[in-house]
Amino acid sequence: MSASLAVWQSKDVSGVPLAAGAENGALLTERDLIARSCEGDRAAFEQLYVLYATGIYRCAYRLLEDADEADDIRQETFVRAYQSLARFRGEAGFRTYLLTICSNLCRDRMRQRQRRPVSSYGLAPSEFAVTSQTLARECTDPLSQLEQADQAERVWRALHRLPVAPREILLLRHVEGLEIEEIAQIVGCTKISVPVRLFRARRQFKDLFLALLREEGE
Amino acid sequence: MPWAEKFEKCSSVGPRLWEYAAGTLQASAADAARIEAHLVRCSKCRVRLEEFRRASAALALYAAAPETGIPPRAPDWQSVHTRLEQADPRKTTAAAGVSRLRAMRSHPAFALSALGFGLCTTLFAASIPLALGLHNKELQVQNDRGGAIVSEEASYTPSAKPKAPVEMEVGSMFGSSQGFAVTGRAGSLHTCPLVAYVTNNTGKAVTGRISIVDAGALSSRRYEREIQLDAGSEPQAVLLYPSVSGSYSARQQLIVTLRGPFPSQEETRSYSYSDGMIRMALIGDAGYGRLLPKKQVIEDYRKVKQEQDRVAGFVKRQYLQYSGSFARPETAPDRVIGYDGITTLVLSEGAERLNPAQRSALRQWVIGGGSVILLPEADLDLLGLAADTPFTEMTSAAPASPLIPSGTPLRRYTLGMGAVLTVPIDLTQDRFRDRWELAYTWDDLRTRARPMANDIAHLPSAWQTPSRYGFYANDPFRLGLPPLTTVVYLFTGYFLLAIPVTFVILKRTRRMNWAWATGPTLAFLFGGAVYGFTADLHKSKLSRRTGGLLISTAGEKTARFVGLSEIFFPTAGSYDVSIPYAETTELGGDGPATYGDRGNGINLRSLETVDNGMAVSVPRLSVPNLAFRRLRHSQTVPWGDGITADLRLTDDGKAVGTIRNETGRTLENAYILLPGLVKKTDRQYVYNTATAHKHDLIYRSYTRTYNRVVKVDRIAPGITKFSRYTDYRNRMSVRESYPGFGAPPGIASPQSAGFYLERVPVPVLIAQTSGETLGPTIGRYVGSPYAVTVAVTLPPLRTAPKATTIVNGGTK
Repeated sequence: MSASLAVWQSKDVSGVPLAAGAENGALLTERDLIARSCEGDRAAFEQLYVLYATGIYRCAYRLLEDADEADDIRQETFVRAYQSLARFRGEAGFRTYLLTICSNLCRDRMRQRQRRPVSSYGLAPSEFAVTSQTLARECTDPLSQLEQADQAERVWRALHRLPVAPREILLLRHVEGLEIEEIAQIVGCTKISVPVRLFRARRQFKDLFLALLREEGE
Repeated sequence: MPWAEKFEKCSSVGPRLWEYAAGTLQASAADAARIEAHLVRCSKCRVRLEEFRRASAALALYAAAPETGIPPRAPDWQSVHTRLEQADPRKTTAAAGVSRLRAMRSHPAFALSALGFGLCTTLFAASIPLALGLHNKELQVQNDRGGAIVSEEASYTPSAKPKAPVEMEVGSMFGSSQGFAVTGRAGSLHTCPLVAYVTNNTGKAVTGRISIVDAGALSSRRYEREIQLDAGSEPQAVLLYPSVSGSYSARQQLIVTLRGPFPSQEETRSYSYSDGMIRMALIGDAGYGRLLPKKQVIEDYRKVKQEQDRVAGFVKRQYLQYSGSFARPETAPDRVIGYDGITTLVLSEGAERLNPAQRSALRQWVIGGGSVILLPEADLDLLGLAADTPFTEMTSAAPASPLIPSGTPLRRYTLGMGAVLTVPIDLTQDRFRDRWELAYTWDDLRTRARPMANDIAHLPSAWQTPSRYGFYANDPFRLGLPPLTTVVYLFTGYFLLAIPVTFVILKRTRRMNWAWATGPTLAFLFGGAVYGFTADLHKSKLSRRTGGLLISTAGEKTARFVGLSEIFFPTAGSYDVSIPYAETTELGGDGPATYGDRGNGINLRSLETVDNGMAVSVPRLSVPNLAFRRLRHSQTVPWGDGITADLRLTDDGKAVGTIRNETGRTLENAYILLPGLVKKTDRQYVYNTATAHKHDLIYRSYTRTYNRVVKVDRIAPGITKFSRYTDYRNRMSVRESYPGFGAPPGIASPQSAGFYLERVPVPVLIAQTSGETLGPTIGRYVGSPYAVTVAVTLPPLRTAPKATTIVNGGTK
């Protein structure tokens, strides 16, 4: 697992020294990097970018299902984050802050799509090959490699069939591992309504997933 | 443990099954035991648990490899860095300099080329004044107050970005110091006036198209306007009047896109509503925030008052809460609808630059019930008022207006239904902003400039369903629908009478085999009757009806109409609905006039409008078969040579006068409201309990003023003379007497129209007319000939009558 992925998946790294931010032998925390970025230190912001760029790209891709657009969103997210860094109060994590911007941008992009629908959506078969390979690397037994790759592909297809809102909430909770409060902030709803939405999303996902299984005759 | 606690229900266990299946349920042992007990008992939940277990395990597997299904794309810091370089406002700070130097060090080629480019540019720029011989002249930086885009707090500078072929910046027409906010949305209105600053850097004239999409949660609105962009790199202000949805959802956004033979430009703006808020706006050169005390002054005042509240034990209250917006004359609305979100408008220095279209719109707004305060530099001429216009002197300003010395002459002019107040002190000066009393001064002045009627666009009656009484009360579109009672009689007669009676007769006469003939015969007769009743519906045509308020003043050649039209479409299709002179076209809300054609709720909430600069129309209105649609519209319509009048009162209580109607319209059910000088005195004796003697009763009197009403009936085009006795009505009777302002006489109103005229300072003609030439032109007009209420303010009475006092019902 790469260093950036480790940071992405840890919930709060604001006070944890980051190897990527080492300077003059001392380790910099995320908070230090943000403070320096606020002062205009572009190098510090670059380190934050290195830490979070991949995660933001993935999040955008999962919502938009288009690699080029996800790349655009990543770039836009960091530009906006930098421009409004002075307003970042640190109440939520920096990752949540980035995800909020990213999520809003994705929603805007999807709204534009609705007005100018594209001819087809989804992942090209060649792109999906990455899935299987990635999972296959993790397993040693060839049979379980294949099974797990199939399973992941099935999950991805089920997620793919979900409407955007439940997909977003499901990914934030189960893939990004965010807390209810953080999800509420990103989605823009109350803390109380998140579990309800989550319950509905899970139920929809379960139905779609099982339907896929049935289609495949398992 | 009670049974209910021991065994949970499926509905309470269901939401927790996923966590239970995934092993992440954070519950006490007792809770877990209850769930397990439920699972033992409930086979459905056991199945569900198994399903959740499979799904959650699969999702967990997927989450373990987050790159699953995602094509890899390496992070590209350089592109982010380049964009930050272009947009970073902190370029000059030391830290940014250090950062940039670091970046340059890592890219020496870039650094060298940038350095070379910068040097060349500087030398070239420096050589221009030298070549032109201007080196000895001092370089003057002008604060371009005349520019359309410069403001104290707005930081839009065209040179800050690299020049695109066409650039666009969008803002609210009435900007607020708090940021972007919709000012045109208040009460029943759904129009949000915006201004787009478009810069054409292409060097040639091009045609573009601005589209604004309201991505509201409850509706979808699209507004389009074609614009001509002249050659030249100066920003060109384009005034836009999009209709927005009526939702109060937190996420409201307008997406503004400029398209043309150049790369498209897009901006997204959030907006918020301000219903019921007192909103003052300033037009002039003064700048943002001039109507409000300084922030620190407000804060200090609040602290003091809140401390007083704390000591006194009051709940924490807010003080000095009101909003002050600002527009430069160049970007002030040129349509009446643009002013409708404002409670009181203040005109100051610079307002003389308002162009004729803006002045005309402003005048129409005041005539329709607007309120304007003119500061010393603003002239009455802005509103088309002559210098010798009669006014009411209001000299006593203090202590209600703490910043205005006592005795300062304040003059109140009546213009149509609105009011204009002149104040000889420029309250936008900086020194006043240091005083918290500024807020209360404006409050008092706003009260003094209160119009005769509210802005007509805010009157619920203006948007009310067109008058439903009269000949077509039950079938306004003449669809030939049978009355419900007839249908009931028909069905009752057939099923409960014809069939049973025939059966009994045939049975008694033992001719049951005749039923083979009587049964089909009766069925055919019944079917024929039903068809007869519905045949007219097949012949129904595309039709419309229009109702609303038409307001003007004597001698005015235009009138403002705010109304609502209903259109019936017999066949499905896409229709071009054009509304002449429409300043805005909005969707009508749901209501009885939709006749149940609500569809899925989406069709009635989407609208595409096109603004050609003269009128807003709906070129593509898609409807299903037998559809009804409602459209609101605000129009400034031609009014012929208007209405003039010469009125006076005789000593014996008669109103005598001549009305010249040059509007080309016949006015029905006409009344004239005259200023009330009558004092009604009610006497009451209050028993003095202290002494308990009859002669100690305390005498009190109450005085109120009422309008007088003259009934004229019909005013045909031409001259109408009348001589009538006046009738005394109180305020509320005005509301009850005039259809359009409330319920028609003798007919229950479908909804209460909360409108009444204050005591009228000048005579007002109120009448009714047809809406045939108003509203959309599509289809045949089937509305009532009394659907539109006309209100025209008339010149003052020629001779002031003697004050009359009514004492205990009698005249004295």
